[in-house]
Amino acid sequence: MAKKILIADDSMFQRKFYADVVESMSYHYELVKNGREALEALDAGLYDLLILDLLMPEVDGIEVLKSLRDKQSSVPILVISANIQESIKNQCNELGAAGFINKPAKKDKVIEQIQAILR
Amino acid sequence: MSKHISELELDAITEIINIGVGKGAAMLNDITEYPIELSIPEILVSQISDLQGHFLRKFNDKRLCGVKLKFTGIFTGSADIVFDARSANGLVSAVSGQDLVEDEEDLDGIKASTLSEIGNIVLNGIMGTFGNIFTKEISFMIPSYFECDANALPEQLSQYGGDMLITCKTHFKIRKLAVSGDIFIVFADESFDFLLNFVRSSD
Ligand SMILES: [Mg+2]
Repeated sequence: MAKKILIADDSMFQRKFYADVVESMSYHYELVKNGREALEALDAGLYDLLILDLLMPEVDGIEVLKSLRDKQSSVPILVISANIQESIKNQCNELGAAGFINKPAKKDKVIEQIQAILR
Repeated sequence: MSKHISELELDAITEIINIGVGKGAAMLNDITEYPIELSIPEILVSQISDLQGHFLRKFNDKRLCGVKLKFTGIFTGSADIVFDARSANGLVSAVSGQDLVEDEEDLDGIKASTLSEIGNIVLNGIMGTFGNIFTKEISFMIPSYFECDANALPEQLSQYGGDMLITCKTHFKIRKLAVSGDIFIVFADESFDFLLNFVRSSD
């Protein structure tokens, strides 16, 4: 069965970009626009990967990472964010993120990281 | 409102600003060594008079200090970083190691030069990102330091804007220093049209 990726970003523009990338890799995807929706989707279904933005309304990406760690979730997480401060990258790393890409993310870079994580 | 901007276009422009501010914040983080908390940028299409009320509510009668970076080229406009006096002093003290007391005049020189330098680095980070995304040259003027009150801020921000301002604003905090600030990017009308066309053609 094709792998399924959950994409969480508050920007429509970015969601569309990731959806195109993931589709080009023949994976399935689901789109959500904030951290709350991401957590709900992960509670309701099974995903092979979460692509996670950090700066989002309602529940932000850091809170999602904390919540998933507390639940001992096993879904791998690829953070793609404009918040590229070293301290933020370290925090994501400590909270269990499998990868981090700086925005604006290039298509090749996203494909490469998804492949590395799902290998 | 004369401009017709779709939700997707506004979203794309907001995300571009977001990426620029992220880069600027990373530079501020390097300078202060404290984490910078960011908020989601907002884009306002408004008249100067609309902004006046907004700033009065937000800043009240506080004295404001800021740094302005004008830019020309494919984009014309200005980027401004604005602090209230207390935050400005806190930030300058932390960065320069000098203990600043509000209204102490002999320290004004240190404050102006330190803030100009910080503003220059952060604002260049933001606008440099624009240059990278659009792969076009943007020229920057030398940053200038200013002080004003909330009433005068719209005028200060809108030197290129004409009647209708396209203002991108975002707020940030350095919790450990109790410092907060705002970043405003104001575009001249035709520059915003260029941005809009870019977003439309890259769909
Ligand atoms: Mg976001």
